[in-house]
Amino acid sequence: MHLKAAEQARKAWRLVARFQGVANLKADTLAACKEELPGVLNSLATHYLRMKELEMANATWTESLQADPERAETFVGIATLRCETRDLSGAEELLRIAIALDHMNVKGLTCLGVLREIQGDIQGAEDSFRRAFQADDSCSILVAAYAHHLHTLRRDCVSAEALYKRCLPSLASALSGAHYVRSRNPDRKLNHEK
Amino acid sequence: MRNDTCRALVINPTAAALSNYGTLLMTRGNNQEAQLLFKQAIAMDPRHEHALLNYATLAAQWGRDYSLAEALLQRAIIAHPASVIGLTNLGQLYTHILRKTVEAEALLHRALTANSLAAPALLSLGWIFEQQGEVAKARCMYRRALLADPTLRPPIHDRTALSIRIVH
Repeated sequence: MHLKAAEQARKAWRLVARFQGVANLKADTLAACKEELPGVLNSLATHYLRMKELEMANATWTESLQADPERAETFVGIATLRCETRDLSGAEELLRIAIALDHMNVKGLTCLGVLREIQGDIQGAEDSFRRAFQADDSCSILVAAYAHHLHTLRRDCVSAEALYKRCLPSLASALSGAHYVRSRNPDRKLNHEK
Repeated sequence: MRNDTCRALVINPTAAALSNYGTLLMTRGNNQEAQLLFKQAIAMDPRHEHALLNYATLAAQWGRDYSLAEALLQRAIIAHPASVIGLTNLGQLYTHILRKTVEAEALLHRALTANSLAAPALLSLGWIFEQQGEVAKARCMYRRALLADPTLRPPIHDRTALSIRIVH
């Protein structure tokens, strides 16, 4: 979601929350706002994380948690933030909560796999990836993370490449184009392409 | 560096996948394809640290395009001021290729502030001190580099080699 739209949605929700006691809001309007808000806040928090504004990200995810305390996606987001601040045990606990709330949460299971890689637990990581594949084997985030795992930790470049191609199907034509250029111009150097 | 993978999963998984696949192809010598993937990753996420760093390594080592490598490393450092590998790689590029010793020294000190055990930064700083005739300082840096990473012996014997690193 666009940042400006997300911020506007948050302001709108604050107004709704402020006036719900005095304004004669219809119940379904309020419910619709409540349902949308955590998603909006999660998008906003992700933006802050991207910009490395960690305090803002934390505050926004906390706000999202207050709006919906049982949304797995929010716990995954906060876990990512904990990873950023090197609080790996805190991150693991949050991911466990996310997975307990939603056993099929592929992003949560994938992040748990990556977290275990960081902790040096390769077997544990592969166990998490396997569970994630059981939940949804078409999730590109999972496929890409497992490809990276195979490449860097198992040194299995062949399987890793097959998985990268699976999660990035649009690359096939681009790469065959690159091969064509290279085979026509075998001596072509990078600095000729600026 | 693996820590970043968790963030990448949430922030921009496609850019991360493009960059990681580019790195795989680069390590196998498929440089043209790797270059395309890094470009796509950077187009998707202009602050993508690994894509910027590895594209810079590719540009320097394969294309011998040092100005492109310098620009990419500068972008990586602006986006990630505490990037030890970014600071070290640009420091090494300045030390061994572009001969910008003053800038190199400042960058390598910044890298060591972020991580005092960054062996390649210690090694290059030792090289700079040696060139300046400060033998005691150079020896101290080499000793610290070897303590931090004993596998660094070969580059010491061939200090002029550009050994900027690939990030996984």
